Amino acid sequence: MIGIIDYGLGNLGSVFKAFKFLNIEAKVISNPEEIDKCEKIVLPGVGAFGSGMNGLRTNGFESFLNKFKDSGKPILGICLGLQFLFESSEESPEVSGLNWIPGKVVGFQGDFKIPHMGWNQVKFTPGDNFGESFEGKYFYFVHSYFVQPKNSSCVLASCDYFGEFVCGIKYENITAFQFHPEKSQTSGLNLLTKWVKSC
Amino acid sequence: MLAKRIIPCLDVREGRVVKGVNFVGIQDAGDPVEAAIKYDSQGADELVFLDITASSDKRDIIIEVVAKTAEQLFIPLTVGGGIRSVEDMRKLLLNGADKISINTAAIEQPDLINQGAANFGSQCIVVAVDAKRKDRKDSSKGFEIYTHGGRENTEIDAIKWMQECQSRGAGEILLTSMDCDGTKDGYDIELYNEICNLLKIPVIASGGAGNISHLEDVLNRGNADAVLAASIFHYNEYTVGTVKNELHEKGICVRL
Repeated sequence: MIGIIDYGLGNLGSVFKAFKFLNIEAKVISNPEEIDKCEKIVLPGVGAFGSGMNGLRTNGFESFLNKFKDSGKPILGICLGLQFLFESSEESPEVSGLNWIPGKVVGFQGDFKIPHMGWNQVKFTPGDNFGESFEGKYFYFVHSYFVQPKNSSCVLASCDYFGEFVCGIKYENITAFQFHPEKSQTSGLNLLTKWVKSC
Repeated sequence: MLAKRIIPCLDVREGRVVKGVNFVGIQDAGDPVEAAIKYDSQGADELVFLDITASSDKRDIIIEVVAKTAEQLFIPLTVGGGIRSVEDMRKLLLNGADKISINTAAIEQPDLINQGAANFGSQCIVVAVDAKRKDRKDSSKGFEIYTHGGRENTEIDAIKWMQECQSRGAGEILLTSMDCDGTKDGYDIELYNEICNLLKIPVIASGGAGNISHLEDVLNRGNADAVLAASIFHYNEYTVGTVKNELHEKGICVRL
């Protein structure tokens, strides 16, 4: 059973409905103690890094998430859920992330529209099993910040928006994407299915 | 590269899709959930439901429509029409809308934009703007904002208003030219060109599309980020697929 973490923020309704549509059993987890019962978990999120991390902490999720990560069971992060994995974000400098992956979250800067909003093509790292089915497909993005991992070995996917940026990582039992698979129509639904089946 | 978005718009009244017939009457055009699925399968990038239910005691029907649609639609859904409060926004967002659109209510209480953005995030807040040239023949004389379905001239400068919306936290602007809407003669390119280069947030062009060249024009010369289209799809003159294929052939980046 897949647990979708509810920490008071985020679009978990859409994620839940996507799994339901795919006939994949999923449950919204509002009580951190229930995380252990899950085979896999999804960390969704829309909004500000600071509010999100504070929400995770005040609702008591951090220690349970750390434990789940150490158990080796699969974790999927979406949007803010990708950003939480890192040390910190420029968006909320006074709040630390989960610090599972070295690196920071930085903001888009330049004379172009921010947030990056809409459908953009994703490039997957060659040799990874996600790459075969999804290379060059469009996914839906809406974000103003992006992750900068210290180590490029965890980079699973990248995207071009006035410069290339990392939009997917795979690190041990954690897979995470900046875009919203639950808003990316067939490609997104297929990606969710792939994660469930292969991770 | 970020694709330009093609967004079909459905007018929904008391839970049914309606469409105009030669500007004379309106007729029932079916179930919105079915229509949404149809456009989704044709490759629509997003969908807009515009709730034109007049009667205030039937206004909650749209919430059920949104909830049913969200079970089967996995592209962004925007709902507009009669939204006047944060509570109106919350009900729709909780039931599956990804974004809400406000028009007259934003002009009457601009702080609603700030409150919406603060509560739900800017990405959820679309401000719909109806603009008309002060002088039909001369775009340099400026544009004014109209409310109440394009019937009342507020005399507010359109460009200034849209910049204010941006600074109040709007995530996107949905801009309709009153001069062009319904004419099928094309968009007001000068209007879009001016505003799209000034704003940092995306602009969705609406009103005037009669053929695919019009869409190409507003996305290219007008620099709009997306097009909202209603009648061009409703009468099956074009499908989303044929529109996208042709735009792609003309060199415009679209999701195929």
